[in-house]
Amino acid sequence: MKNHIKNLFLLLFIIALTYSALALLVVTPTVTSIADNQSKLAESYAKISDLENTQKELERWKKNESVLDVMVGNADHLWPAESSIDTFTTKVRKTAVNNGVNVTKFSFGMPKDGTATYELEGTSSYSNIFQFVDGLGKIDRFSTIPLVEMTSPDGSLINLKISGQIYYGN
Amino acid sequence: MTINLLPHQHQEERKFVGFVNEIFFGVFAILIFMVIAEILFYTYNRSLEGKVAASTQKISTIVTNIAGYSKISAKLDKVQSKTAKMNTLKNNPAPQSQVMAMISQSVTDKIQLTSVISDMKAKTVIVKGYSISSDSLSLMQSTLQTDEMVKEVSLVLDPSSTTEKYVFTTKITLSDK
Repeated sequence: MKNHIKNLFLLLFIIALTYSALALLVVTPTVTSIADNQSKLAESYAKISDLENTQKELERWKKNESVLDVMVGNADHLWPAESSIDTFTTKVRKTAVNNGVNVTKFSFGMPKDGTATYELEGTSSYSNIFQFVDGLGKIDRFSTIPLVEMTSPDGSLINLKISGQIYYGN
Repeated sequence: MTINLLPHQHQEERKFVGFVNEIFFGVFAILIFMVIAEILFYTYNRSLEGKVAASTQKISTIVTNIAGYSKISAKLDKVQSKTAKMNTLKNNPAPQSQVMAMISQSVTDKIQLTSVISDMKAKTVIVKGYSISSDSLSLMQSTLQTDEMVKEVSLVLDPSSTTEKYVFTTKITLSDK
């Protein structure tokens, strides 16, 4: 009887060993591979969805390329690749004249890092100066005005000082 | 390993042998189940591998198609890049022209401005002047406070002020919007 029990334990041990080996060497790699492939497939589907949207968007723009060309033209106009200031200078002076601002100083700093700074000084009345600053914002080249100073020491004409920036680059 | 099934075996031994046979049956059943499960897993995995390969191929095809639109893509990138740069600079803080309009609208005939310093980097506007009416100053302050560009307004009267001439300094803090 003892011998049988010994044999039984040996049998159970061999069975357990066989199943463990089977699970470890055959089933587990397959299950791991399934999980890995499911993950890859989900990533691929997400990527395909993104790429298809991009492709549709590009196809849409291809059909409307003339509109896109106008947009590119406008962007280049507002934000030119070169630091050229000639046109901007002319437009600022024209805006000043149209709004009755007497420009006494208008100078540009050296262009650097896609930016050119300028200093503008002039005199006029408050209402004219408000109109002039508004006009600067409407010039068709993108610019910003970090600082505006207006002073009226004698209560009559207003002294205006503007620190501005224009931008260039691709 | 052998299991003796001779006729002279004891009753208990027979039971034992029956028990072992049941174990064998169970083990065999589990084995069959595992083999079937493995076949199903394997088949499913092969199907997945096929789908992964197909999707990789599809990605490759779309990427090739998109590469054909490189000219359009470059134009779009250019517009989007410049628009993003302009929005960043324009939106924060508010443009000077809007600030000037805001001040212009808040100042009545009874107020004389002597100095306006609008600093967009510091997001502050310092307005100095004088008024013949304290009501006008209150009106100016309340008008400024209702503007969405304004975060805070403080109005301080100069010690030199009299009941006929109120000399003031207003500090306007602009909001981040």
